[in-house]
Amino acid sequence: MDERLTITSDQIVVLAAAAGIEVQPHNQSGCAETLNSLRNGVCAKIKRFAPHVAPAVRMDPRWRTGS
Amino acid sequence: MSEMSPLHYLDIATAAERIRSGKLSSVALTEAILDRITAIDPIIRSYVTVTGKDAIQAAENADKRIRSGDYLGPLDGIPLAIKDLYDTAGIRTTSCSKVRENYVPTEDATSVAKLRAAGAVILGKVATHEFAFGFDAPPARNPWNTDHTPSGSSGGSGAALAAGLCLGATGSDTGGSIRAPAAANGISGIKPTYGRVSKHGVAVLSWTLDHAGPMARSARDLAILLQAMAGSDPLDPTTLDENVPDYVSALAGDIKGITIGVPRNYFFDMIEPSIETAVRGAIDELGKASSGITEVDIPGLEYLLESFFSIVTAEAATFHFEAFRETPHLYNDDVRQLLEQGNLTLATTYINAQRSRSVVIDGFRQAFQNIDVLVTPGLPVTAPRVGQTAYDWKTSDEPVFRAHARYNCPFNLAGLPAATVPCGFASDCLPVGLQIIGKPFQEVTVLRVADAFQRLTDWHNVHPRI
Repeated sequence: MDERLTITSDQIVVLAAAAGIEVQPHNQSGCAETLNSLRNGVCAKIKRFAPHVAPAVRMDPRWRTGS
Repeated sequence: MSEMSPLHYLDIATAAERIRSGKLSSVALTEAILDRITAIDPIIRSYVTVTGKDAIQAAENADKRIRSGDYLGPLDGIPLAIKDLYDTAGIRTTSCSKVRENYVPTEDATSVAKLRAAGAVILGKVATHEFAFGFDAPPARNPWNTDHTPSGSSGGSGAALAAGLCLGATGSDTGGSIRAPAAANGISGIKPTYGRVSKHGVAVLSWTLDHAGPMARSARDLAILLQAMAGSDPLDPTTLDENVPDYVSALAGDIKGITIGVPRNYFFDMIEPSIETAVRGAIDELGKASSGITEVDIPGLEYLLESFFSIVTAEAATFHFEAFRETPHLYNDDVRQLLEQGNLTLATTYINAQRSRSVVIDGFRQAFQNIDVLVTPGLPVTAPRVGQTAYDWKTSDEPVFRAHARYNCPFNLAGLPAATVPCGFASDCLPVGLQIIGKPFQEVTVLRVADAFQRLTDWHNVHPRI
């Protein structure tokens, strides 16, 4: 894992303030842990993607979405 | 369906035939269900609002209409329950949240309007997890064992069907919220293809993952309900203008020309052994009735849950943007924590998660090249106990949310039609579901296979002792 990409509990408080919300104290470490885990998982998944792989934003599932 | 079945466990197809032929009135049926709600629902707690007076009025209208020769079809006079996420004109629609405690819509959701237009009688609103954001539906309990939840988020619908408190219901499914309670309560549910059923008037959890669909006690009943609900809607830009076939007529019972795919990877990982035994048995039954079983590998499923959770939390946080800033204290703590997390999801994480869907869809396209349907377990676990937060796999614990999403959310990410039907019981005597997945807009094939399975087995006619 690239540690530059790790969000800490302290940073959660700052990010939340910037987003205009409060993350409850009992959720700050869990929130940081989950965000890091999700981002690392998504990063691992897209690592081998060709740059042209687009988001499936149209969400038309008729075997022709996205790529 | 036996001639001796009590009114509250009639399936829609049987009740409709009796109503059409004048052997049963909608009023008698509706009164029987309302009486059972009064007697049983204080234990099951599936309904959050019962509209008995309006239901009797609608049933009287149906009887009058049918007597005058103006029969609307198989939903005419049939009592249904509506998930409290769906707008119902003049009826409180809370999404089981204090945030919408006093919300009374002035119009029906498109699906509700279509069901009413088909003659359905609305009994009331059934429980959901708050804004459908979880695999539970407090305060509803599982009719097979009231120490357990009915799963969710359409758990009120699932529990009401299993307990004989309605003949059909609506559900919504973002990562398994129709199919998980179908498995957990031993009933049938279908998440149609993305774009097949309008979501207009259904509270949003995730615009790109949400699906609306029916729940019932048989595949045939799902076909009847889906017939009324399906179709494009100018009020919902995500619906697609695809032809809606005659689902009921397609249920011929014969699946000899259909090839059943069984996944080699992912869908039998971390599964309770007695559930795997029940599902493998069901697959054997289908193999004998069809063109046979083909094992398939499905590429692109790694890290899929991370993509799912990133999308659903970020989109939910966006839908709740204003309310969450104004009244965060009104949300229950579990949903509040998920919304806090969703508000802080990086844009790049969200977009990369959406990119990964293209690869998931492509993986299923490859897997479906030589098969007509894919079959998997509905859930790797049975319904959790009330208050249980994780499953113990001996080597690790797995949160309930993850365990219930794992086999279901791939088909929300890909938008494919998927039904779950009962196929037995696990070692803890709770129901087990079989999931049947089809190609895009092939609900008809999914329902044909589900119906054929229910002609070969009787699991859908086994009811809890209440």
